[in-house]
Amino acid sequence: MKGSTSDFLTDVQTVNIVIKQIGPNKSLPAYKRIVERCFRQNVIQVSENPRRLFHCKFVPSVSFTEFSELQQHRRVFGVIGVAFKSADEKTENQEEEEIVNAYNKLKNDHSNHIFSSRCIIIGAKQDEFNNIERHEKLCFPSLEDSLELESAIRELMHISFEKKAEIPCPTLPDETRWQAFELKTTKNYRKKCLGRCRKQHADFCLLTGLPQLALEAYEASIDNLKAASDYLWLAAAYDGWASTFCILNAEQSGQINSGAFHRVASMQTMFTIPSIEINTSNNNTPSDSLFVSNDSALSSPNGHKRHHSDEHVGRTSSPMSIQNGGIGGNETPRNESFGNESGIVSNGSNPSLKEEPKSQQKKNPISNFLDKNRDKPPKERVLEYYKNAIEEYTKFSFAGWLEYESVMRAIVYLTFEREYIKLEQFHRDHTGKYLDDNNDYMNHHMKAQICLNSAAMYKEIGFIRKQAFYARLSVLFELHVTEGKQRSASDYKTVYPILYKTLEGYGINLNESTEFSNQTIGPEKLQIKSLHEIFTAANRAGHTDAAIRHLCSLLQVYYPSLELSMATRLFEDLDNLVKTSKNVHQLNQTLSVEDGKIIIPSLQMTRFPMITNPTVLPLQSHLAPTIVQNQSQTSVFIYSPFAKKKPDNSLLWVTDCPGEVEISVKNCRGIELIVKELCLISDGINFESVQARLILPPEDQNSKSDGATIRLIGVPREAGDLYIVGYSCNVFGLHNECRFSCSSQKHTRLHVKVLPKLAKLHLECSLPRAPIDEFSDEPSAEAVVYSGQTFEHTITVVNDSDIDVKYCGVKVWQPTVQGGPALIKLIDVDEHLEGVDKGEDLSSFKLAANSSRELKFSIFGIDPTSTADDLSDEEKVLESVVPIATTHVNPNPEVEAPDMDSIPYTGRLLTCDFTVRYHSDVESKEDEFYERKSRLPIAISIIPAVTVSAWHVLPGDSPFSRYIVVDVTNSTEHDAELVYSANRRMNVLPKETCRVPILSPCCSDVAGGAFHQAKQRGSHMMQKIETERLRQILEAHVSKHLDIRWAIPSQKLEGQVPVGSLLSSVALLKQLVLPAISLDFVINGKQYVSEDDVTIGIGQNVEVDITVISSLPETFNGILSIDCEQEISHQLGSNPSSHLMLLAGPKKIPFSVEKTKQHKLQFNLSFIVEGSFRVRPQITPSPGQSALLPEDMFATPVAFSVSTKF
Amino acid sequence: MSNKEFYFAIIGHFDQPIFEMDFPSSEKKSKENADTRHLNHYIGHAALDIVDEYALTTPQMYLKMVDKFNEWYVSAFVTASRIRFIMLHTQRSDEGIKQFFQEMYETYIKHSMNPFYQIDGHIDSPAFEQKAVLYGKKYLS
Repeated sequence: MKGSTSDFLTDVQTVNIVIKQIGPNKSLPAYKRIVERCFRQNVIQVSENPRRLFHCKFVPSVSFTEFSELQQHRRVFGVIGVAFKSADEKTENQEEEEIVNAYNKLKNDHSNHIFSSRCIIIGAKQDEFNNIERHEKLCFPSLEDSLELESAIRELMHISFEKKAEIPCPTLPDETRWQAFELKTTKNYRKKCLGRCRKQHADFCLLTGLPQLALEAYEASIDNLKAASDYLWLAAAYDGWASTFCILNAEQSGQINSGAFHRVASMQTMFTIPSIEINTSNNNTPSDSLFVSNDSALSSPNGHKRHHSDEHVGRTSSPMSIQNGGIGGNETPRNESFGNESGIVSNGSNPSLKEEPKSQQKKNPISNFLDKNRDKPPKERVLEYYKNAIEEYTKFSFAGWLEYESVMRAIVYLTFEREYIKLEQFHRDHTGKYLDDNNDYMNHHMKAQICLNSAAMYKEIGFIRKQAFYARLSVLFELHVTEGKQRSASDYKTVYPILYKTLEGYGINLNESTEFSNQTIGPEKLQIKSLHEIFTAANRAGHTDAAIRHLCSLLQVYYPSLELSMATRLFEDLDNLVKTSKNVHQLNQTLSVEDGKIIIPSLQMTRFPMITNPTVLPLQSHLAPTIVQNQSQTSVFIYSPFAKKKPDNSLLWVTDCPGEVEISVKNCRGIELIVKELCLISDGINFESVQARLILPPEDQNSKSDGATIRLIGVPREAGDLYIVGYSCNVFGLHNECRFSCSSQKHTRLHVKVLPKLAKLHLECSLPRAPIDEFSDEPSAEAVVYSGQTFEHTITVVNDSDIDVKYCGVKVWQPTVQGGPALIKLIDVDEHLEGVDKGEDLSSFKLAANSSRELKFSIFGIDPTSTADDLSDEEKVLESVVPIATTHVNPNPEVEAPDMDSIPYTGRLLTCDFTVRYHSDVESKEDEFYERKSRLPIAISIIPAVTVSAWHVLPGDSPFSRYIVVDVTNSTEHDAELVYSANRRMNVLPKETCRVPILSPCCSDVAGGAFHQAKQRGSHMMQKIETERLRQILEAHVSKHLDIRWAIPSQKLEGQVPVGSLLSSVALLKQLVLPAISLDFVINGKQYVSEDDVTIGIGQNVEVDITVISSLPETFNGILSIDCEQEISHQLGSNPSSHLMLLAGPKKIPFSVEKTKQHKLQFNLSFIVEGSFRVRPQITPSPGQSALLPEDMFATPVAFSVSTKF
Repeated sequence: MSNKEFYFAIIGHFDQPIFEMDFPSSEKKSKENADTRHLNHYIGHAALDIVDEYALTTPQMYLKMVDKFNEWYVSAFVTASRIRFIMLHTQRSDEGIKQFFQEMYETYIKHSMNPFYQIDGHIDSPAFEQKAVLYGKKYLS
């Protein structure tokens, strides 16, 4: 196969020199190096004016040499033998003899053609090998010392050029077989001889760099050969003329680089190649030197970009850049294009880049010569001559390959002209017959070569789909076997790279990342078939790794489109391949096949299994750190939200603390999938990932689930920014590494900030452990207490790490009680660290590494029936502002479900938390701390023992005292004994309620109208705060008198009746405020005790002495009167009945009372009917006095029982 | 090959066939064709290069015969939106194929105006297939 399609054209002006390795010692790398160095000398300039270039080609063999008379470019003009002498002196003579014999044999093989030959011997001295002619011998001690090799090669080329061969009348070797006998004296024979000689002359002209003369000679030979009806030679002449014209045309437009020299591969070589003189044939300028340029363009001049047919075809010609070294004085602008003669500069001259081409249209001298001497032939004439040549060749079946080469030269011409549609048609019309099954002249290998040439041609013009088609066709021909033969691995090794290069034509790009989207781009069926073919070829060629890679690509991308049977078969193939493979195949590594000619990219097999939705989880609550800014260094811009840059605490991991990443895993196969060694891949910092093994169940076709959710664990080993980029696993026996992708199909990486290693505390409690939350592995404790009992326990804060804790603060979260002692109370913990914001911490201290600290606390069994947390804020407010003289423990009975009565009330489970926040003593930013929290939940089950069920406030034995009547219920099954008011005792039967009266003096610390004034505050919150403040004052006053202790002797239990609910009742406490005005009654000279009926007769005069007592800060003036109401019945209530009461004396009495003074008044009254009457005093403030509120006046109504007899 | 055989394909922008049909269509025939259809795929796919080249150089939609391989001729039609109609046929019948392409072009335009159809998506429409069969019988027999 040609290296490039344009080689078909340039071959006709290139001389063949055969180079072969001879002798017993072979060294392929060194031989290749020598060939490469020879190949760089493929062009020499043999004449300056006209400029003539002599092209040589160094090949190991030449085909179709039997046509060398017909086409001189097929002739071998020289041979080069390359031998390597060993250092062994024993076999020196024998080795020398073998090398000489091999060299002579090589010369004899081409003795009919060659002009000269050379024998390159590496490792020999110049005085050795005397059996070889001295001028043919090139002995070098080593390859590195062969500096004169290039000059010797160029000398050989010069000899080949200058040799004057005596040319006999040209005939082909076997021409007599098909030519009839012909008299040599006929005119026709003379014309034939003349035509053939001119044809050969033209060939030599072309080969020796005189294409313009070659054109003329070809023209003349065509006339003679046409007249002589010498069709084979005529075809060759047509072919020669058209090819010469094409070369000229292409050189002019810069489309081929027949005048270019190879660039030097390395600096070393460049400096070791000496400048050589070019002995031109027609001028005497020995001083002209030839330097090999290394500044030519990097791109191959033969490289072709796809141009559309409608693009502007014409290209400006590139002028030559030969400077004449001062002889001619014509400075031709230097062309930087490698496609021209940029490599040739005159000796010592400095090619200036500043000299721009003066005229883009300037043509080379050959073209100028052509233009001057004749009209430029039309381009159609070239194609016509090619067609003529093909037509004439067709008449000779043995010249089929010459015909094909002529076709390809015509195609090259059309390529240069960018006539792609014509090209395709021409190619289709003329190459089809070579591929026909009836074509016996060409075997399948030749047909495969033809297809490959076509593929290369189509690739050059950018028809990659056509290229893929013909490349695949060549594979079919290559793999065609005749009967009795079998395809071997070497056959598949040959076709594998060809098939690989067809993938692009079918829209397959293995470099693209393959996601498991169910949409593929391109001809899917063809892609599947192509990939399967290349997998088969790789497998049979013995490229196991490549076969695995292609199979995985097929399954990864096209699994949804594969039929079940095919998919099953492919998985079986994959399994077999993996078993035969010695090492675990690494899908993440690129593969090199065929000595690196094919690089197969890595593959991410994300479909097996499908892993989606990666989410980094925060650490568990007791391990999760937060970054806390030091409040002491706040910015001066305290009100600016922009100045408050809060640290991002959303996702923080800690060194040496395992972190978790949650992923969804799905198996899209119908059978079980085993995934081994599944672990995370990270970037940024040192990270140890824990491997997992999964057995995924088959996919359920009916349910569209996203798969199972699992967590992968890894341990960061240093602080910094951690990026989790993907995962690796072993699936189907392959090592697979993939990047994470999110729903938008873009690769994503998860960022986690890792803090340095921090201290770790845990809490231990003297209470027994109890599982509270099934999802939490934190330690927890539980306790059971009767309401009113108090127990003491300890909690221990343990630092079990190697890092000191510089701040450790203890806080208790518990149900809020508004009155009475709290559920949990720390004992003797008043110490605090200075300089640290302690917040709501009850205690704070330092804790060294591997040490602990014990704290004492008490648990009090609060009234389990109600806590402040049970109430909403609104309810709490309502309770505080509505005056209720009598209340019940249940603040909102309507909410209580009625069926609650059917369930015996046995207690209540309350939860509270010990929370310890601590700062590790590690390096951090100046204004930041790394804070962790540890908590110990405690479940406290409170069993009701003796509790308060209701309460009332009654007037005491004086206006300055009240009776708090508490209904105490014994909820236990045992008798309880109550002790109250210091030494009073009372027994309560099980499940019974008894009433305990406790006399409590009124509180003088709170003014009478204080609650009313609190309600007048400007805001709801202010009202609430003020009310709470007053409540706390009253609570402190009342709780001193509300000490009711209970004991159950049979159970040896004792405690205090919890009166928290009572103390939290604002309505009750209000009653204990000393009222603004108190009235004391004396009936008929006898002190009136509350709720005692006074029995009198009808018409009996009753003296009612009323003492008005004021606690107001100022003097109060008012008018006192009395009203009467008659109680009809318990159901109907009472009616105003002042008309049934007769007053003797004044009905209204004015009074004036100063602070803490008394004022006595007297009323005389009698009743005119029987019945129960209540007499209430009424105070009307004098003008200028503020009105009294109901709660400002404390006056018990006086009850009279009036009867006829007494 | 004496029988008239046709293979019609609509090729999307990414060279993917979005509709395929063989003429004359029969169940037996389609079973046989299922095994050899990939050959038509290869020939039709290879012809796309020259179809694209024609589309760049000529304003015509109907490109006549653009390629040939063995017994299969390839005719092509390029729509205004560069959707390519490919017809592989064993006998020359330019006029019938032209008519067929024109009718299928109209049918395709109507189908592509369906808001639920995405351009370059596979055409799974019984109505479209019926139309293709109808025009195949009318112009390709």
